[in-house]
Amino acid sequence: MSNGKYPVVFFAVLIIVWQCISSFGLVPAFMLPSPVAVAKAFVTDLPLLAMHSVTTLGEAALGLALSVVMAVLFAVLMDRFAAVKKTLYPVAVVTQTVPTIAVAPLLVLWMGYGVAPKIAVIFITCFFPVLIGLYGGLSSVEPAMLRLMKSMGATYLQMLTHVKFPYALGAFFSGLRISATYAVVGAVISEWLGGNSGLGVYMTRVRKGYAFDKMFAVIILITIISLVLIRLVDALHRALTPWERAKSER
Amino acid sequence: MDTDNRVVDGEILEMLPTRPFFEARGISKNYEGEPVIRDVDLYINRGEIVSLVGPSGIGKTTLFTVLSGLEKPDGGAVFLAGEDVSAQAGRVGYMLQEDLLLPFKTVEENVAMPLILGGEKRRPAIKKVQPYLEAFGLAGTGGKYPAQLSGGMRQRAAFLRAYLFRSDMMLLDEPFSALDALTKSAMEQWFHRIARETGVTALLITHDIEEAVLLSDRIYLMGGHPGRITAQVDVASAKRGDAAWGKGTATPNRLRERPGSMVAPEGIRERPDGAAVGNPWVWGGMTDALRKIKEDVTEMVMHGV
Repeated sequence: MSNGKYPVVFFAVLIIVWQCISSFGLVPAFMLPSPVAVAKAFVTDLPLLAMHSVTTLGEAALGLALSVVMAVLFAVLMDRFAAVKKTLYPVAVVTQTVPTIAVAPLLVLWMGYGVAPKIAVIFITCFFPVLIGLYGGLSSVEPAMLRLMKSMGATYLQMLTHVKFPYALGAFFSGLRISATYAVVGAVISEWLGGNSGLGVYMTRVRKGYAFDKMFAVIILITIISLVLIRLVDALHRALTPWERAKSER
Repeated sequence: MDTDNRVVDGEILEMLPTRPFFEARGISKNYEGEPVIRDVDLYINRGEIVSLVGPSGIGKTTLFTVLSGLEKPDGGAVFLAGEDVSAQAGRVGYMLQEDLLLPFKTVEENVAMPLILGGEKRRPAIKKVQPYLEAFGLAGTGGKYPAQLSGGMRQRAAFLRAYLFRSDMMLLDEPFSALDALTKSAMEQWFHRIARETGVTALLITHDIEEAVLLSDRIYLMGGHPGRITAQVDVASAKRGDAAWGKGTATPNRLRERPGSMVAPEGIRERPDGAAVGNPWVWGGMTDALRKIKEDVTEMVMHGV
């Protein structure tokens, strides 16, 4: 059995057990809808879910893009200037310990019910992993390599483009992989606090209506979106690092 | 003062009362207050291959970081063609034990790095290096990544990159010591031939005395604490007395991978005087005379002369 099959079998068994529990009435349907009911809800509400997904994905993409742009900027500044690193690194760590869910309502109060507080929440959660990944990559290039480049008269900008960025790609993408899923979850959480559309808004509505089948449907959708995003990031990583594959075909 | 005499067929081609092409005078360097090397004097004439041997930790690599201009000496100065180049990076070619090829660039991109760093566009730079790839035994590897090459081939590429950066003066820090014995021996012959064809001037760090004897015209010994030059050994004279001196152009022990042409591709710099480039000693492996030198040098290293 290939490695990929193990989780598939596990989930299949889990769903069968779940269906049995529901069919035999071991747990009442209003508390735990059966997999079939969830699937039905998913299909019926698909147009609605799609509409809300567009909003959420749009926010996630904006927030993530902002995080990446800022992370690249600050990672380079931290790599170039020790003082910037000493100042910003602890601050960046602190932003990670601040509970985002607790800060989110404040952001809504300050920024209103529009896109702004959502982008802010996503930024707070996504900026750090990308920054740390990229900075780690930039600053861990072999000193001998930098010495050699310097001996060939390379400027800092040339070292960045020819050496540091390519070396840091792996670490950058590990950070981006985490951030991509954080971005979706961050968007959903911030939508709980208010808004007109988005998967978080949809969640709040169905929760208030005790429509647990729809609740499960949206949770599954968010999971699928996150998995697809991870796959996209991985595909992008592979496309940008052709030399990684070349190793095996010597 | 040294004169750069070159005698071929009993005729003196040049007798210039010049200063050596590359010269280090009274180099001292400290690390964290501790002196690592002290008052190092050395010189290399144009077209000469000179080795620097000595036990590890003696400060050979420290000396190289100063000679390459990466670090400022705490005392003394470095001269290239009479000009003070102390603490000026980028004046000499520099190659290290690890090939330090960028893993994410193809071989031709790696080799073209000096041109690209010099402001040349990627495509023309890659086009320019193509003839060199063949001449340096790297034909057909241009589009590959370093990870797809053998250790010997990677060192060739690293050498070519250093050569394309600065061919007039090269510093080679144990370039073959990370290779397995067979590859190392093949690479030494390869280097000998390339050096002859191109007439490079090089200072070579090695801890392998046989390698030093085979590849160089002169050997400097380093020793002591802090490190300094303890002795200088002439190898070229012994090679001149050797039957193989100046005989033809073909190498007796041919490299399996050696390229078809012995002709330097267009653009490889000739000596300004147009004289035959490099050391005319034909690779013949260790002869009795060279073995004697190896023993003497080994003795000197062992007893810290």
